[in-house]
Amino acid sequence: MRLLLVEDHERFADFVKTGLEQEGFTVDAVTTAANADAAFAAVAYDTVVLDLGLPDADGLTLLKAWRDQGSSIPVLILTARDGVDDRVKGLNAGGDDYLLKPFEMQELVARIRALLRRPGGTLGTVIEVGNIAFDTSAREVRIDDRAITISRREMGVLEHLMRRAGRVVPKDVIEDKIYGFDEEVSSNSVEVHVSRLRKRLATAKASCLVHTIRGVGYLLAVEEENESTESV
Amino acid sequence: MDNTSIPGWRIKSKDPLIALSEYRGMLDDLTRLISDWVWETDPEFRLTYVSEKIFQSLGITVDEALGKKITQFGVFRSSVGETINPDFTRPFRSLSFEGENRDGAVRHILISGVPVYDSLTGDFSGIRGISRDVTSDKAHREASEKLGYAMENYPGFFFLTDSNERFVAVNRTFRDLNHISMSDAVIGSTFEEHVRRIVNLGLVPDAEGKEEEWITYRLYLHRNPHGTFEIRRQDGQILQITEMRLDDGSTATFSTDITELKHVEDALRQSAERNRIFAMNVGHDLRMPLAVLSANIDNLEDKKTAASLRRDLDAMARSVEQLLDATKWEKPEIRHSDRVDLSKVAHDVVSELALNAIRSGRHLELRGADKPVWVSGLEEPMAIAFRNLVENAIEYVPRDTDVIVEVDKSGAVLVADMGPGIPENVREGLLNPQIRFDRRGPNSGLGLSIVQRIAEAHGTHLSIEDKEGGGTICRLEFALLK
Repeated sequence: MRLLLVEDHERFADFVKTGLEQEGFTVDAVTTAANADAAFAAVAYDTVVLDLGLPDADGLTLLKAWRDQGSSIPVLILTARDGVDDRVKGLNAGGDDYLLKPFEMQELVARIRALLRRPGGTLGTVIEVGNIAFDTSAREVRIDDRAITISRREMGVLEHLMRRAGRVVPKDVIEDKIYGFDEEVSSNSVEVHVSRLRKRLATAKASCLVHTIRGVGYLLAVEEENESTESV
Repeated sequence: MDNTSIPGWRIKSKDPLIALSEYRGMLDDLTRLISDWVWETDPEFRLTYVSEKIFQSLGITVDEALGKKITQFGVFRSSVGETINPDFTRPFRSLSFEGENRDGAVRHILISGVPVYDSLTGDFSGIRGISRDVTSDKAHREASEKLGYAMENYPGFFFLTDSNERFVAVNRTFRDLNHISMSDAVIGSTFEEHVRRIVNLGLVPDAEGKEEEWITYRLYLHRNPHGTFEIRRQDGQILQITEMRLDDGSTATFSTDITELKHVEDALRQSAERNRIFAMNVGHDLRMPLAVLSANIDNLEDKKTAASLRRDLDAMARSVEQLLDATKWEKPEIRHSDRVDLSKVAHDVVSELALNAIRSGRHLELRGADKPVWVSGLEEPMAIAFRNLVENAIEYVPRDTDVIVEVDKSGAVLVADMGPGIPENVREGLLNPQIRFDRRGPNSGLGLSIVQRIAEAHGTHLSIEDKEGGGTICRLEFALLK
């Protein structure tokens, strides 16, 4: 898996490169938009991790140039919180994603993997979160490598939660994804599917929990090994 | 012609005695009715007759006055204030007399009189005349003279124009500032002539290149006086101008030199701006090392230490972001056209913080955000405000309790928790933007002061209430758009 890291801060780039290499990625790190463009033209990367604030150009300008050339390579944008304007928010819909600095290495890796598993991505069709593996082409769910039986609708709920693991998936988004236009949706049917899914995951000893954020939606998170301690 | 009658006076009787008595009656009436007092003296100028009105002026009765000389009650003064002894053998008119009444107060009296000669012998038999007390007239005249003097010497300029916008009065500073000599006929000229003149002289830098526009503006202000405005002069002076319409339709205009004040104000503003930029630079400079640390912590082998370091690092990162938020949104400017959907912002913030809440064992919930609630405001600062309120609540409530974000269709957002509550005496300090850092908790002080500042920019404020049954409700109310 070959990855282009575009980040002008060299020490930071070094740490990120080391972290990604430990996860099995091959990383080319460049510090300017010009070098990034040259590398991009020379090598067929699987994904790009792109910092927005580059010394010679805005990262989004670079991304637009690549898109205009017809490239559909998944790109993960790194930005500070105040760099998140509507253009950056819009990335989510276009096959790209963004991550706020500072971040945890595992979050960066998870986001990159999620991008690579999108339709057209190069990482194959198996999404993994904790000990759950979801084969999106075979439509099979395995927990600790044991296949479990699961209904089509529950599987749809699980897929979307896994694709956005650690982030809230709004309830109406899940509704839209698991029902066709002409299907009747009863008001509590998503709750019913989620509740069944929870039982199934618990029975199979999944290391993930489906959390309800009342009024918003659901969130799949890997259970932390240690009980997180009170902040001081 | 009858020598006992006075032409035009209605004396009917032909009997001289009766006619005399009628004259006497008439004289009595007149002396009673007029405010002046009437008197007559003998050849030694001792009063032989005086009307009762003398009491109202000098405070002495007729009986007390009779037989005394008028100079026993005061002195005659010349127009320049010297004591004089007038020649009473000739008619005199409006001589200034300064008397003292019983209370010791000075009375100003104008005295007119004529010498009287015996009709039979032709000998000088005294004088008679009338006296008018002008004390209050004189005080008024002196007061307005002094007012005029003060206005003339007032350090700012002063001028008065009549209802036809013609100059009625101008003071020295006005002439000096506008290069008008005493001999120039400014009185009677129009205000527009004056404005055109100072623009042509180049005294108004703001008018340069758009002379007519500025003249129109200045004339408009003068025609519609309301309070104060500022004018910069070519010599660097900044004047605050106050114009007011008076009851008689005239307009009074005066200036105060606020150049010093403006310079101090500018210096303060620049200093605040430098501090803001400094804080912003510090924030930006801190971000990168934090990101480096964060990327590196995960490479540590001791996972327990790494987790503990990450918590501190997260707190630091949050403080840095708050610092940057505080500097970026020091004074958010909300325009009329800025509108925000409260439900969307609340939804975004709750989504963003959901994982934090789960990781720290608190239950985050959103209520009332199913329909858009449009209010006047800016999305980014509003999101920062909500995020700070929710982060604070998550930080301070006990584990396994709820933090509820509620959007009210009246245009309010509430963040309710079941925490220990914020003591009354601490609340004000938390909201005070002057108190930047607080030692009570890892992040408390700056967060709520940012919320308060953003709230103020939206024309509202953060209210903190106790929740029934324990806990706290933080409430922000915005202007609902219909």
